[in-house]
Amino acid sequence: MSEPISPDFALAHSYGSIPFSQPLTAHASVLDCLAHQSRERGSAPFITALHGDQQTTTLTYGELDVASRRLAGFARSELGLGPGRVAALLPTNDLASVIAIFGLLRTGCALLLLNPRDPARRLCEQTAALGALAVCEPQRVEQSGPGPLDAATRRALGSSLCVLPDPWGLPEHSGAELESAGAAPIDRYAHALLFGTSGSTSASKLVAQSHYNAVVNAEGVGRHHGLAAGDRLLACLPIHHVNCLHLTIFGALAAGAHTFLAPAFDPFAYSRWVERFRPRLASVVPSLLEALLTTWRKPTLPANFEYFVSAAAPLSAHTAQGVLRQLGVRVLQGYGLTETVNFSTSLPRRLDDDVYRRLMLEAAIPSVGAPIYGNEVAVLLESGVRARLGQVGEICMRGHNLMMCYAGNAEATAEAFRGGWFHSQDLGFEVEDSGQSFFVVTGRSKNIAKVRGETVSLDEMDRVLRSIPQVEDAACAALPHRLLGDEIVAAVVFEGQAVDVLPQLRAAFAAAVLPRRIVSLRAIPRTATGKVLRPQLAQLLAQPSAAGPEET
Amino acid sequence: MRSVIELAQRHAPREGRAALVDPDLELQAAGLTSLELVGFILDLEQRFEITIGDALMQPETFRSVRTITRAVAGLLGASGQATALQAP
Repeated sequence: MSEPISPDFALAHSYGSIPFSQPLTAHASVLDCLAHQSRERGSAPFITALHGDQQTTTLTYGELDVASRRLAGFARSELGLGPGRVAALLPTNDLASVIAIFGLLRTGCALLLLNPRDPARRLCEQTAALGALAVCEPQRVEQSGPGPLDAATRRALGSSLCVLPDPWGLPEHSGAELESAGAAPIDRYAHALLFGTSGSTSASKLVAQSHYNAVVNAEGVGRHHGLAAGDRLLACLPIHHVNCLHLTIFGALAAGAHTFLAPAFDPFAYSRWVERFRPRLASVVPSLLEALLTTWRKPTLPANFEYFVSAAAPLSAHTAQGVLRQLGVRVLQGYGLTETVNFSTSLPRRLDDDVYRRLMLEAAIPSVGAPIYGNEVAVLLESGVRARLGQVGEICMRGHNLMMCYAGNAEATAEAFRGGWFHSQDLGFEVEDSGQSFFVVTGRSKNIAKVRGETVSLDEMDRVLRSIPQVEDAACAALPHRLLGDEIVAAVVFEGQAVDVLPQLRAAFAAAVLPRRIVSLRAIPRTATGKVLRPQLAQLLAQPSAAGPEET
Repeated sequence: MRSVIELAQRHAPREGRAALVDPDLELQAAGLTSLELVGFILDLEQRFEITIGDALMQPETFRSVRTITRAVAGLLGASGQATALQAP
């Protein structure tokens, strides 16, 4: 690391007595992992992507190595990408996007992963904040039909939008050629991946993860799940999410495993995918499990299927019970944030039946498990002292998988790492069972909602609503929803006649996370000092038939 | 059919609700994603007191209000067809 680091940063990035400068992994980056796998098992399948109704295409480790080098050559020469530069990518769950991720990373640039379904304004804000040289769209050769970008978004992105060429039509570039052109070797601590996230403040933050962060997480999840060469994983979460990218792409890569990448969750096709691909484990979010419990009427899982990995939103004991009863398998709940490069904890995979029952099926809140390799987790009180077992405090992490910073936001970075811990702003406690320590997440001190596994800042939504001239006051609340996780309901106080506020919300948020209801109120419940009383607001909005609120 | 339309509208995003009066409109075009569709299926079973079996749990069954109404009517049998097809 060339930049000076603060004592808080150094302590927060230590793992036991091992400083951040002393790597835990043999490989410096996922690109090194790819080079290794290409040498060791070049003809082995890495990703099988589903497209169309039943068609699949498989990319081997060797093919990804070649294709990503070709694309890197193009990106360097035609887009000017390289170390110190930023490129944005609009990936979808297909092979072209996987090749694009590796190809762009090979140039040494930092790669901003965008949600292609985000509104144009959000995409433009994120790319402008980082000064991205290009917004790249993979050429989806294996798919027909339109991509996820609408015409208005294409217009807004303008000349910065670049459709990447088919790598198989590009000239070959050897690793040595790229190196001589300045694209390698990669600095393991350089920013590799950038993700937008929702913080406790209104503004969305951009998390910068290094090459080393990614490879430590890949090593950690690989150890935790016992991933090995040839292991099969089923992935259907969006690839621009840390969950999909870090577990089912990078985690699989580090282990030499094979991932079946579905374009999106499909409750009717899921059973066919499982039957056809026969994965050992599958990555989901709780709402997908609920959907499967509803639609999978005669479930049969292959004998080698071991468990679902669930993260991104709280899993209920009811869902875990349903999965065991109907599908006959366990759910291993994991927990982490974009800032902790995906997984900080996960339930161990070889738990005794009694321990699983106590922690997952009979607990009021199922456990998120124990820390994975590379990071330490603690529950801290406001004073900074560690909480006693069972005592609720803030869940904090330190380790080699913690992000490098919030890009361009030194103040927020310093705040997040204060006292030598990353402060998650999630509340929870630690329990002991059969001599092992486990964590339970009880709630959030930050004002967010988890809709379909997507994190949404309610503060940001409030701010957008309050910026509308006809709106006197507004606040949003997250209400529990069986299938969505949370559903957002917006309460609005209008100045005079009610107006449609959806256009402004649509311009700022993806359609999937928009409020399900917009309720006109006479006043937002607030404290004497003006702070929104969120629990009271949620209670009020949970009763749509009550006399007070009216749906607009 | 109207009761099926009303249930579908309950699960559709606001901008897609009005278009659902067209019984042949694909539910996806009205903005119902896979998770909304699953919620809709649960409501259908509850509202009509039916169980949609494995054979009907296919995308074709839930393509439009018309295909759903046909499936529900089939499950209700001749006596129950009126319930599915008429207004509540």
